[in-house]
Amino acid sequence: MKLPITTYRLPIKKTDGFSLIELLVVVALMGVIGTIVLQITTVMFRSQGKAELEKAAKQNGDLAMKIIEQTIRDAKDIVDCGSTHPTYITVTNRDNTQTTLSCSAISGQFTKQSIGSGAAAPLPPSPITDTKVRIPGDCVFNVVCPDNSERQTPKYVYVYFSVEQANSAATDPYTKIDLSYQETISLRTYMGY
Amino acid sequence: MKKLLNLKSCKAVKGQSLLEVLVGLSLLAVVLSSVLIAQLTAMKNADNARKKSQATKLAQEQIERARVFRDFSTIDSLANLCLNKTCYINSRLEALPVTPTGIYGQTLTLQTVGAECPTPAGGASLNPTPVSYKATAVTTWRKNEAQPFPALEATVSSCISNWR
Repeated sequence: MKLPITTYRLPIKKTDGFSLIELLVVVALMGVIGTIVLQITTVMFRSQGKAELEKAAKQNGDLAMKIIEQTIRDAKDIVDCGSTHPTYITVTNRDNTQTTLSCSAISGQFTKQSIGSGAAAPLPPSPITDTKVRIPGDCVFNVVCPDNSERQTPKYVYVYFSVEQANSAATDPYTKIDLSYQETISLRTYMGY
Repeated sequence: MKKLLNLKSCKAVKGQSLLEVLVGLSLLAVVLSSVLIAQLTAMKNADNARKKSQATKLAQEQIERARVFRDFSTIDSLANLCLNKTCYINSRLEALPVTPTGIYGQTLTLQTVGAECPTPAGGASLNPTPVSYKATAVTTWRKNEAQPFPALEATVSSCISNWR
């Protein structure tokens, strides 16, 4: 009695295998599909990396702007009226201590330093941005004291800065992050007019 | 057993006709191409929307910078550079007669439009004399830096005066 397996084998033995054309078609198809999959994977990984960088830049920029806004809005006074685009600002807080906010092109970070009114040594500046991003040093703190013979407007500060990724050598437009922040912040408690 | 025998004589089994295959393939092509076109249009629209919102933000920033420039300097020095001609105020608040390079072109123009931005009645007796300008910030954008500026633009306008 024949085993069923032999009956299955019979037709295979008789076939002649794949023809050259068939093989070529299969190889070409595999090539095309492989290329498409590779492209999709590359784009996916690249955009994922960019999204991570963008998230870091946005988080840092938002935090820095929030700290700057709070410090300036709650300040009692800012003395250096009309300063032309310096990269730092010193405000007098309501408890008569002073706080300096500055951005440095060398460290690439925003820092905040508080100085007490007493003789105590000032604390070293503490960074308010992390090392994943850098501030390119073109930040602007412009203290505007409007001429109050014309308008009853409190002092305000024009703030501008931009955030890029830490390795700023990357010029590839697919990975380059450059977020800019601009705001005008009025002194909430300023009663000088 | 009978089925296997049928398989063996493959030549006898009738497949799809050429017409059926052609119709199937062309249907597939039509469906695939419409999906592709829809996808491409969606991507283009998303890119346009992103650029338009960025352009609007830049135009609003120009108006804000013009106000800061007025408070920081005087409205006359702003008018000197920007009245009836295009200028650009950079992030350091320097008014320049040129627009920046990049995919966004930004211009700011001041105009005297009495109907839209009036000065107060009897203002001539006030000191300094109130002046009011209509500031229009226009941002155009293009696909990349090599392309000429297309007609796509975002416009923001506001009144700027030295009168409260």
